Amino acid sequence: MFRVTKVLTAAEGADTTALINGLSLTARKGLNVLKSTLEPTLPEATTGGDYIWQLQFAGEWEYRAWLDEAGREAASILNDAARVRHVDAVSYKDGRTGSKRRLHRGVYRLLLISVNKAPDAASVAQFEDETYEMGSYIPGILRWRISRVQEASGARPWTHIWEQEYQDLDGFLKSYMLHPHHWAWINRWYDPECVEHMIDNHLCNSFCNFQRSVREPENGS
Amino acid sequence: MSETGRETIFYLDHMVAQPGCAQALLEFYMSDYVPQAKTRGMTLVHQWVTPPLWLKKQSNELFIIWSVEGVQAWWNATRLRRADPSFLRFWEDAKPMIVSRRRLFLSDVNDVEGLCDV
Repeated sequence: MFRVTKVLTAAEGADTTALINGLSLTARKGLNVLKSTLEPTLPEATTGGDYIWQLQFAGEWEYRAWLDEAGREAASILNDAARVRHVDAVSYKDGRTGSKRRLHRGVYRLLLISVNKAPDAASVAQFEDETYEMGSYIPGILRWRISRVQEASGARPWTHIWEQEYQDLDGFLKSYMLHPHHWAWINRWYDPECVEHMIDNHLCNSFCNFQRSVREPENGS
Repeated sequence: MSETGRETIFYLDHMVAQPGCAQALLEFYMSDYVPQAKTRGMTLVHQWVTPPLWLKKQSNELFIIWSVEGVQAWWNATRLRRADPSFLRFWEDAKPMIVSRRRLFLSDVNDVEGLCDV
């Protein structure tokens, strides 16, 4: 599966209904788009824009084909300063994915990360392994995926997207934030005072509600 | 064992000092790092050294232990530390006196179950 995730901040005074409809139309026009979701972010998304737009494709070729067709219209909308103030965007093939059970509704959370101080490839691989393991240790994480980013734009040259799904927001605010696998272990990669630190301090941290798992392709169903 | 939700969290700064530098490193840590960290809600618990004498030609190892009460207090201190560049400046200035260092986060083993029950 190949995915595109964009975190949008609407321009002041923009017609957000027209913005959502315009972008959704570019997804519907694309024959190669398996699924498109465009959801408003939750207030807890402190650095995470107003909307999360996600597109799924069978592969990179299908994504490139969409880019050359309806994707041009999408780019035109996203580059219009009267409608959109800022976009953080990544495209990526599915990375390691874990699941405890399927969710039909819940809270989706993404974290865009820029690993820009890694001493070597082994450290990056270890970070990815440990991040994936968070799903095993932290009860509130029900579905999860850590992926390397292929293309990125926005506030930082994002290198990874760390996605999780929770039953509700408490799954993130309590289980994820309070579990020692997070603050006493993984956090050392993010903490500038730890010698293992290698991640840019600026993160894109966003949430939205979902009705069907954003990680599941619809395949026309 | 602490009250659930208010488990004591410990920080360990383990530093291997450059030969003959441990005493100066500790003094610098106490004068520069400690006052800042205390204002961020961290409590200084121990300052240990091994071996317990100041070596002149070899490295001492320092173990500085801090604590906060509860994970929320840990996050509060972490956010305040990250927003304050003076902490990083300290580590940069101290670098010539340090061979290697590591920061670890710990708890009483009896608190593990409570900490993971979230």
